[in-house]
Amino acid sequence: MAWEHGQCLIRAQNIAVIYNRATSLFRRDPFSALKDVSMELYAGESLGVVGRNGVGKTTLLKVLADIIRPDRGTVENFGATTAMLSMQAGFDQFATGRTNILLSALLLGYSEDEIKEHINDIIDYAELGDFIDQPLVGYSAGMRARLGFSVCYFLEPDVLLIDEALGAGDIEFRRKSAEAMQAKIRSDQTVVLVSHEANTIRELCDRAVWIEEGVTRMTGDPAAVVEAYENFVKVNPRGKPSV
Amino acid sequence: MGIFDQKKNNQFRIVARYVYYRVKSELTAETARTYLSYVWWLLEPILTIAVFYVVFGMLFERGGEGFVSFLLLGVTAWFWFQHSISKSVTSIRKEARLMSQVYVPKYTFPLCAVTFMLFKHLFVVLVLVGMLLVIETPSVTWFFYPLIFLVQLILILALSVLVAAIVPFIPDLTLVVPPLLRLSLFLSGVFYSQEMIPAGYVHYFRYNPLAGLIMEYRKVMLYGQMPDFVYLIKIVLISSLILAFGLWLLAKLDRIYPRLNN
Repeated sequence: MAWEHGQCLIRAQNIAVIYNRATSLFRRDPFSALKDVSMELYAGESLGVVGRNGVGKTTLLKVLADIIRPDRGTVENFGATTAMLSMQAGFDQFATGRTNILLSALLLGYSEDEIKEHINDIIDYAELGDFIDQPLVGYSAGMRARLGFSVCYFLEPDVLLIDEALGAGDIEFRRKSAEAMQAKIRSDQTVVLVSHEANTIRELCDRAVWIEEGVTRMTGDPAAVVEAYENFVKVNPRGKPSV
Repeated sequence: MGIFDQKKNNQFRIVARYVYYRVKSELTAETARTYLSYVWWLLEPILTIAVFYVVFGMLFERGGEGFVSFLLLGVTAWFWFQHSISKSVTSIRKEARLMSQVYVPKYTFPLCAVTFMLFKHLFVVLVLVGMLLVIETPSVTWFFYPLIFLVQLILILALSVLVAAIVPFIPDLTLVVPPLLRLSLFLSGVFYSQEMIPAGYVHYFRYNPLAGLIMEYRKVMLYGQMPDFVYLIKIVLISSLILAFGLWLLAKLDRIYPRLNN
């Protein structure tokens, strides 16, 4: 679907996600991953989400991708297709690379014809050669990462959700994929980029959201948001290293 | 470019294609690890059946004339049931990684498990019928075999969806289901006939749909009798209710499953 630049694609209002971890039959351990997050995503922009580890950034991506639904608040998607970049985590180890591309693409809603149209580009880009018809168990970690990256790169959902991974595979491919991804972020592709690396957000994003302890603390110009975030981290260091 | 249309009518088409390619890939992957590859689809059931034939037909010579056929009809039906349910038990649970990356309607996973076992069972049926052709006299009532087969498929599908839906919430069930399935081997009259049960218990025996279906298979394949249509319809109705409940559960919890094990 063609979106007009600046049109609202997804709107999240006061969302909260509470995981109810069952430790035994009678004990529930409630844990709020998100408490009160509001944000909007507009067509063509790249939105950076900063925050320390464990503040619910990944949970937010899952909500945006409609993988989970919030316990409170509302999420409206105005018809945009979404996909997480780290597709390789869902790959089937005993299937071939080619089948994995097909299965992933089907779940992202592509028809067989559309997949056929792109499959050679994906295979070429992943630099897998003859390995593409081998089961994934024989792949190196780098090969897997390359395949995962290429699938998402070529399938182009309306909204691309990127979780901390601006590079995959060996050094050579990491540079190639990082460059490709940066080009994509700078282009008209709508992107939500989650990162604890403030620099990446400052350099690549048009807008940024800072989440702390499951609450949106600030939204706006990436430089300003990142500065506020960094100052906060300096003043409130936490035992956990923000890796 | 394609659009991930989450509208219902489109969703089932996507799932059907996904199941098709996934099962195909799983079947190929399984055979790719062996030298005889596709031959195993036929060879495996032949070996299973041969074991029963040798033990009960040749070594023991028990149960008299026709006991081997009697046994095989029970064993194959039970194996199909047992393999399908065991595969379905963990079908949703083991897809935790996939589910956390992309939205997948959860009924996809038990459907994959049931389809996979259905395909493999078709080869078992092929060998079974081939064997019965040799040792039994074919009868017109053999044409009812596919009907009973279909009823069993609905039963399997219903129970598969139900266990797949519940197990992610109560993982302990993965340890409860295998002994229950083993129990079903002995309770379903695989090794004995209804006549060998004390009269007072036959009534309860009929409450076990697997036992009833095995009995129906034997009636049409061995004794030239018509199947009990009322009984079959009852199984279909109850299975459909269970299936509807299972699907309702999966739809209701569709976006809860990715939160488990978090």
